[in-house]
Amino acid sequence: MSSTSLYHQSDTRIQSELQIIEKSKINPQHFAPLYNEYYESIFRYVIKRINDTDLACDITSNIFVKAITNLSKYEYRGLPFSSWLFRIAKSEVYQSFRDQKVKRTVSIDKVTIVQVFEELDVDGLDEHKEKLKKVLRKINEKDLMLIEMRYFEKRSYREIGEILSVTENNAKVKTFRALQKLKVLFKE
Amino acid sequence: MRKILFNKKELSSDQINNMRDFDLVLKKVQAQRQYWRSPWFYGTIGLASILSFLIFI
Repeated sequence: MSSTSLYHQSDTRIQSELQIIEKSKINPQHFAPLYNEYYESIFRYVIKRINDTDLACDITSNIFVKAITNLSKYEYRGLPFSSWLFRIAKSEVYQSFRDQKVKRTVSIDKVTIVQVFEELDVDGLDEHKEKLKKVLRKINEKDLMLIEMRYFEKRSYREIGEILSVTENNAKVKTFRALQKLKVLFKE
Repeated sequence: MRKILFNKKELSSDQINNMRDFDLVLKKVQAQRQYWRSPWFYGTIGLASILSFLIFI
């Protein structure tokens, strides 16, 4: 299952989630269907950045604790609930890096590399794979986060904007700039 | 230093979903709520504030 497949939702589903959220504000036990629904996508988001199953499991659990604890602050603004969860996930993952609990990991596969190479106008997976690894170690964290979400996880600019609390257009511009920086580093 | 993993074997949906533990999440939520509601918490904060004030003057 993709970490992004839950993003596009029907109005009926959004409304049903909103009902669960309202009930969960009064009694957290009602949150169970949302926990079951989003556990996998949130876990996958975490494990891609933290290559430690036990720690990823703990962090995922803490993300849901934080979500339930702060549920009273959640307001529906026409965006799926999953975006709010991913925003908390992003914050928890980066907190674990700051606490130096774990090493930052970037997970890439053959398919995503090919697409990144297309964006970079580079041919030859095997010759340039090591170079890409080197560049991904060098690029700054903010740019990496954008490239990761856009090219490795296939998120829309709208969703990236929601997770980073910026507009869709701003997310697009920032991602474009990040890709340009990646290109420059790649050609060095 | 970042670790770049290429073609890492992903866990299956079943493996991930077996790790779900909503009861644990509820326990943690409850513990957090109780922590904030505890008179010990406010007592400690109050005592620390008084001590800081006394040290300051």
